[in-house]
Amino acid sequence: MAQTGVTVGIMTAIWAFIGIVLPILTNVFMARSPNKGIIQICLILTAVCCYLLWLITFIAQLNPLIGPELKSGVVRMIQLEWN
Amino acid sequence: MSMDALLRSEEMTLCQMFLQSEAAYACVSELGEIGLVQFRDLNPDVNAFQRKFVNEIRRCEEMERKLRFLEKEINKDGIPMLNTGDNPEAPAPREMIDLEATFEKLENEMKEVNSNSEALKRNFLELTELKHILRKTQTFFEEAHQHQQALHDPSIAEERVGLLGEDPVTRSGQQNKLGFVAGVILRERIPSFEVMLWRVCRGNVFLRQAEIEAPLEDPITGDSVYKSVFIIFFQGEQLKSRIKKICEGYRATLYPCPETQAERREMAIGVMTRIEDLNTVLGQTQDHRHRVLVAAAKNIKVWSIKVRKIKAIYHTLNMFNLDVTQKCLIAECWCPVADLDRIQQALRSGTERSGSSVPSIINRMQTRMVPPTYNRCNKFTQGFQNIVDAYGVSCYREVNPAPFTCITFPFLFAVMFGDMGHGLIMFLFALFLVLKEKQLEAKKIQNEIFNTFFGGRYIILLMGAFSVYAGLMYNDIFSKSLNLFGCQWVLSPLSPEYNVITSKPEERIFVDPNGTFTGTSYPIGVDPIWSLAKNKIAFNNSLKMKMSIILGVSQMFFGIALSFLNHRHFQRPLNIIFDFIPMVVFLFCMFGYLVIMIFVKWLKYSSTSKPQPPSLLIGLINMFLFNYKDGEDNMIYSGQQGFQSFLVIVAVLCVPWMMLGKTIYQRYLKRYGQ
Repeated sequence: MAQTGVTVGIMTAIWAFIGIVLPILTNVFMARSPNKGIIQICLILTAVCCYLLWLITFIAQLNPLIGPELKSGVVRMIQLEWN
Repeated sequence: MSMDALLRSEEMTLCQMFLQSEAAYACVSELGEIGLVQFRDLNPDVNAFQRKFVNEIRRCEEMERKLRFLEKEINKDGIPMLNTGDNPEAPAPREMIDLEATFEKLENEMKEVNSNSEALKRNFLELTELKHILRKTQTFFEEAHQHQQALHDPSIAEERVGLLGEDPVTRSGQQNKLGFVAGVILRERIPSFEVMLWRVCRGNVFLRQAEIEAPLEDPITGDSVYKSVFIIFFQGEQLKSRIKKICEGYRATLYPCPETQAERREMAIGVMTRIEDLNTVLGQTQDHRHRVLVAAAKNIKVWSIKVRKIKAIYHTLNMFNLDVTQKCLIAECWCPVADLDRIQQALRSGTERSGSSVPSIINRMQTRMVPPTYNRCNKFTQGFQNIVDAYGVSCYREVNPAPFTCITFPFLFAVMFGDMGHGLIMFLFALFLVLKEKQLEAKKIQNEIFNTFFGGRYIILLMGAFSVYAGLMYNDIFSKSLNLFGCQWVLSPLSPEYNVITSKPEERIFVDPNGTFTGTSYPIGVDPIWSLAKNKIAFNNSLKMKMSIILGVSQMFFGIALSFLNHRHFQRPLNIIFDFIPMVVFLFCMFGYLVIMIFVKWLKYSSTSKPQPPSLLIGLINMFLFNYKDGEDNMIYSGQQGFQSFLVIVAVLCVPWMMLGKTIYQRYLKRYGQ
């Protein structure tokens, strides 16, 4: 559970930085540049879309209802290599 | 650009310009260079041939014709045309005459050279054919002479003498009363030529032919053709005229061939000398032509640009109105309010350049016409704006969806593409195009497919970048998976199901998430164990379908929210009440609710849940059919039946609200006043 919390926290922090903090910084540093608006829009949209994509993939695997169907040879390899 | 200018199309104003007649040309040239103005045609019902500057345009088109001719000649010779990439300004009207004179001179020179070299080549061809004839007929006559000698073998001399009544001594290699014609014909035509001769002359002529090994160059088309030499022996004048007619029909050229060998040898020498002379002259003509073309090739691109600019200026001037005093031209144009300063600056410099003392005036006009939509773009947003405009150009001052598509379009592409390896390839290809864009633009490549890719280089760059991210989420690199964070499924050999017997490696084992799943998701992306599973598609389908629903519904909500911005800007409260609100309610009641249910099902049910978790799809269908017969087991939360029925009824009510609400309200207003 703790690991879940840590992962969610880190990913949310990353995308919050990109989606909230960076646009504010852009407002400060690029106040007069003609491209300020488009950069802010791109940052916010990127953060929203990518965060949503990650969140869906994460939550979908939290409580799996079915398990993988493996051949025994593969099971043996998994036991040797990964576990 | 301010946020408002990014969000909507620019504010435009209708302007009227008063231009002095002398200054008009220079002013239009300056305005053309900055490209911020769209002129309105003030003479729409005037025929194109009755406009004021139609003569100048005709002259420009004549110049373009000459330039095209020159370009064709340059391409024929394979000379490279210099393309420095600089943008020359339109020359002043008096310089146009100089340009015309230059083009005229060049064109005449080229035409002269071409016709000369054609005549020379024809001459050369005739001499070459004559040379071949003289060589080949030499052998024919020798054979005939031998044949004659054989005939005069003393053993049969008496019979021959008696038959023809001639003195054998007088014969000296010359055929008795036999005439001949010699000529050259295309090789393909020889068989039918022979047959025609046989038929027409009833077999009384004798044809010998020999092929010319080297191909000859046709002077008009320039192709190499294979020809053959022929000689026809006949007796009598009638046959001669028939043979001549047949040769004409088959386009065989006849040459006078002397009968004696000495004469032939003399002729051959003369022909050789003349061929050499001709070769020299031909070479010099070609050199001269090449030199003229090389000199023209240096400037031809610059000239084309200048001529096109002159033509464009005169087309624009044709749209202006001539004032009653005949002294100044009046123009109407649309321009962005933010750029009025730059336009005035351009007019000032144009008036200065033409040396006119009267300044040009521009003033704004009030109008009820709907201004054109102008979205200011840089090289990054231009591609996306083109895609959006392809579906339809937005109305004046409407919210411009293009800045948002900069991210959502590549993102949705990536959700469909989703492979790190292929995404990386796409990204690197687009990166190459972007980093080298200055050099590639300067090359002015004409290939349409390349230009499509080059124009969309920023789009492809973003699509590649997002595809890498989506591939990271799907855990897919060239269709293989990576195990970066450790698999979250532990298959302990201690439990009996996973204590596998190595002698049966193909046996299928269904892994139950109960004992094996560690409880935390794989941190970033899909767990790598799924790539080894036989039922990977069952998991992936569920994940991707639900992902598509969530992303699609969010996108639709976003679009409707933008429409709210439009309603607020154009101050249409009716639209908010009768369009925006029912759309939002409808979308939420049906698909927003489904999205919430998806998240609830993901978080609430695990493999340890006693009853089988209910299917969302069946649940949705039952929701609309009001079918709750399956009982309490299939409810996700208490009160679900009531709440869902409520949502369906509200959604159904939204339909007449959207369709009829505004109409009925407006009719009511009309009938009973304000």
